Amino acid sequence: MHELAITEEIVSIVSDEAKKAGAKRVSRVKVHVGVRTGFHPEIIQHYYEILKAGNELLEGSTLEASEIPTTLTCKDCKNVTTQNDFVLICPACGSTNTVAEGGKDVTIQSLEIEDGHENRGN
Amino acid sequence: MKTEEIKVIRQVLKKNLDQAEVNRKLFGEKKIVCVNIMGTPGAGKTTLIETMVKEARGTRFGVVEGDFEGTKDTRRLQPLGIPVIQINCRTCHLTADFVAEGLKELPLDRLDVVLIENIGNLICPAAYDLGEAIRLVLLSIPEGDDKPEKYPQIFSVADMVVLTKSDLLPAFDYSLDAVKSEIRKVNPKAPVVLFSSKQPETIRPVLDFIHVQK
Repeated sequence: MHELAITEEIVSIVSDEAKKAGAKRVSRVKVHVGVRTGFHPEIIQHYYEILKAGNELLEGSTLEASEIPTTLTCKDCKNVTTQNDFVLICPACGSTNTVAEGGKDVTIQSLEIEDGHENRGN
Repeated sequence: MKTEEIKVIRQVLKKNLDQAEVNRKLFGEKKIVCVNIMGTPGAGKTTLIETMVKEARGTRFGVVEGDFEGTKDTRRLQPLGIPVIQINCRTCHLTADFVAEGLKELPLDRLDVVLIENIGNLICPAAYDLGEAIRLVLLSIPEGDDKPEKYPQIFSVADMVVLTKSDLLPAFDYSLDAVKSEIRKVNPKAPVVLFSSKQPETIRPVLDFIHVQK
């Protein structure tokens, strides 16, 4: 149930943005889910399927959620790795002197909409 | 019918983060250190609060008491004579909005430290910034030394980890080295300290940690 609140927030933001764009329907929503947020993309997708039911704007849409890893840079041995968990120890030399970037946010990237304002984007 | 893709780029937790910043600014203006206390139901969050208040004489505390239901902990803290606001959020974590509501009821001009007792849970509270300066994560000895490996996120966001009920260490097959090493993997910087309410003076490192932030 951990992902329910955040999926409700996604539905609310998507509805908001789609209305702003004058959309009649949304067909696709792309979301990035950072590995260090603790939220799982497939569970967000599962809740989205439940929450979109009965919502005219979103009912025909699919949510694509992709997982965004963390890039871990070791300040001692300069090794750069992609981490898919919370571990901040350099896998090459075992140092804790590392910098982690990315994987900390859940962001909506884009929407595919039908019948938006004619004057949008070209 | 025309289909188009529009770029949006919106952070989903932005609403909570914005409110957390409002709370943080308010704490800054009032020169208050806010501490978000997290851990499972029964980890000893309320006991830690009781001990902090009793041992830190001269520090003026206020408490935002988050519970799924009921006012048990608020009634329990009443004898301490400090302002306590109960929040029944009916969700698995507190959000910055709930805390903002609670803060309206606290006499902030007369406080040094606001303690937020989060909902007992090792998962959801980790994802929600409340505007705190310090995150304490409690893990009681009876819960086992393997929990940081199972619930890495909450330990990754901790500023300090408090291993509570440490007087029970002899009763359990527990490795302090193992628990510390697992915490260090996801959080190399956070100090890990032992606390037992049977020896109230063991709260000292926690109080010192909070006072350093002032």
